[in-house]
Amino acid sequence: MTSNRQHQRIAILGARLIDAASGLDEQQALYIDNGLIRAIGAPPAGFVADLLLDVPGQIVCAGLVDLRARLEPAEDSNASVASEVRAAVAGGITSLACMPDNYPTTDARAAVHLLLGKAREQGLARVLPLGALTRNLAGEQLSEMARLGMAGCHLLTNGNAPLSSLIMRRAMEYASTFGLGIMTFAEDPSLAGNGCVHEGSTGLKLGLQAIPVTAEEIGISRDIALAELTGCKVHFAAVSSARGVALIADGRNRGLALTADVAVHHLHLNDTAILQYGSLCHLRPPLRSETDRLALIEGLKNGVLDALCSDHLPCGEDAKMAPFPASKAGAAGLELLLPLALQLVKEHGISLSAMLAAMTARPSAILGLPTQEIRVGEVADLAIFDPQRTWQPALDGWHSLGKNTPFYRQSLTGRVTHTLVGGQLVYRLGDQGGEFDPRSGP
Amino acid sequence: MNGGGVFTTHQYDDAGTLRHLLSIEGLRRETLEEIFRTADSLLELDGQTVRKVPLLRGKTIVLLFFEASTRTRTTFEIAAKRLSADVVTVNLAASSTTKGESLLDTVGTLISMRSDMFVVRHAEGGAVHLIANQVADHISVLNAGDGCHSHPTQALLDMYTIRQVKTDFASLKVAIVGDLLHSRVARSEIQALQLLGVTDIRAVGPATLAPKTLSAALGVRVCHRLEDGLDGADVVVMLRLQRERMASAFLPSESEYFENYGLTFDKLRLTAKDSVVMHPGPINRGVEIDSAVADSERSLISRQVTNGIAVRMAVMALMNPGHHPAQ
Repeated sequence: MTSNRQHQRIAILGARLIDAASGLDEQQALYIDNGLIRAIGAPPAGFVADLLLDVPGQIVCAGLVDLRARLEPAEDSNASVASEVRAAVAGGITSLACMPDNYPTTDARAAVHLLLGKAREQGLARVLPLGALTRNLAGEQLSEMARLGMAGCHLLTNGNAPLSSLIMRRAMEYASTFGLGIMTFAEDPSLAGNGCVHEGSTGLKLGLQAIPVTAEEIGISRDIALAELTGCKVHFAAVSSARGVALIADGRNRGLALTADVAVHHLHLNDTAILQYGSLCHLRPPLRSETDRLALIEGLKNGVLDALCSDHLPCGEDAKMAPFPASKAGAAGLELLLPLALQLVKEHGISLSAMLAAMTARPSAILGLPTQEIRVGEVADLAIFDPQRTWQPALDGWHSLGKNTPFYRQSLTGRVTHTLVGGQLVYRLGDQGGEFDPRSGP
Repeated sequence: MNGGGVFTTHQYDDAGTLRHLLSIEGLRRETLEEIFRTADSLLELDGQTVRKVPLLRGKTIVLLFFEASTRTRTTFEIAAKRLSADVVTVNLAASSTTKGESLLDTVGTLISMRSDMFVVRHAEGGAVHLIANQVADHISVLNAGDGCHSHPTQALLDMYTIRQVKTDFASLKVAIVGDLLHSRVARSEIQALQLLGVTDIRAVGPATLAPKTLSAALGVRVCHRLEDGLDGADVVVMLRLQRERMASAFLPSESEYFENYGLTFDKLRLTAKDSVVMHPGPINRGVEIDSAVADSERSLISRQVTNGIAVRMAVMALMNPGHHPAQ
């Protein structure tokens, strides 16, 4: 690679450009220079490409923005920022938001700087910090939100650790003082108890402790009421039920600043998957009924659910190789976002453009990022993918150190072939597998 | 990566022999009939005592009880010894369980000691299936109860007991009374009854322990009034009530439970004239069942105990541990 890659000139030819933000959808060449999109269609005068990407039959879109991933879930975890940002760019993700329940917990400025430093060192995907809402996520004292905000946290969250109504109210009031929003995993803790599955026929048959939809319903209702009281921007993470979608729609109709996302596994699987896949399908919130699953898809289609995210949580074999209730909840998903999204397009008549918007423009807005558009003058954070390419993670390459997903041994259609961040090619799917090239510059 | 705790582990090997017994679900009806016939031959003609046979001589059966149990463990021990097997009992009650050592590591140590069969009881649903998935090809795993999920041998011995006194399963009306929500016995029992053709099964209890949603999930009729559930029943199965249900806000008190759901002669009058009473044990006298009823000739409770040994012997013999083609 040329030493001064920041100034590298790249031409992308033969692809279909889809820009969810502007509605652009046509076969056009794309020219990049100095980290920015220089021209669309015809090359700028005197443009000589340092790198030519000839990708007929493929699609170019804005780099995916993942609302939620855990990169280094524990001190002794194999997964780390280093391994997971590779998985991210391999999945076409150019920006991802990292959960605070990481190691170390991002509840103070120093921890945020540490995280951003690690990400910068890798030079691959851009990592955005999600700040902890309370100190150590313990739900008692407020974190230094103003400082976290200054350090780059646009959203704060307490993760799966529950908050009393009083603390949530205070947190919302304080966060809104500084223009920050809250990402909430809305669930009533006493109803949820030690549950590990959805309270439905599958859970009842298996005799496992279950979490009723009502727990989510109560949690969402509470947080909507508090959002109304405090005027805070609230984002609902990983909505899992039809009731949940309905409540959010209702709150929005009343003019509240609410947004919501759905995790990719929840759109493809329901609670019966547990019978076949065991703890690989132990997720939080749990996979729910088929009716709920279809309501989530409908919610995504009609915009009540703004964004689709990976909800990535990589874990080692040991964590999953335990009896279901004792196994760790969570699935790896960075590299599945695109192929699974394409499957939804095919099966449910969602337009490709709308689906891409749910993974680019809308999560960007939720994270307070400037919307990337494929437009002259914009920063070139792009993903190029082959919508027809079939592959299987177990056989054809997987970069996350967490293989904990039922899709690991399944055939998927659609694969990212190139990822550009800041106009530099950081990932390429070669014949021997994925090739990574950290970028120079910020 | 394969997930742990997979609930659909294959129980038959390639030759069609029963290799694992993990749940009633997945078993063929012929297998149950075979188990019953084998149990018949293991009982003496008067059906009161069990003969010792050399069927499993030279085999090593390990009883791996992660959840404390004296009754079931002893029954399995006796059954294994009556088959002339060598029995090793490993008692790892949950609290003392190898802190930090994973379930599979514990089992792994034992596998390397030339075992042919593991009889496992564990407090978490799916744990025994997980073990079955991991053991070497020649080893059989028998579920002695996992969480609230499955307890197949109890269901088998209860079916065997019913078979001794009733001629036809299909026309039976069966009431199961008590804490079905937390009962692996109830789940296995219901599956066994359905496999044998029973269609009228009543799940009886307060809504906290017998929620209406059990109806769709298990294919039973939920009754919140004992009178409705007992109406015309041929078989009444009383489930044990655990003390902790009071502590965790499922029930207010044992005495109120007995008043509304306890089986007395009075309540028994609502059932069929020749109805029988069963209880997987141990019984809480005066809580689920009146002492007098438990000791009456309508009660099959002591038969269940004897049959428990014969049926477990039959199952272990049929599983022919140590002889299974690689899957």
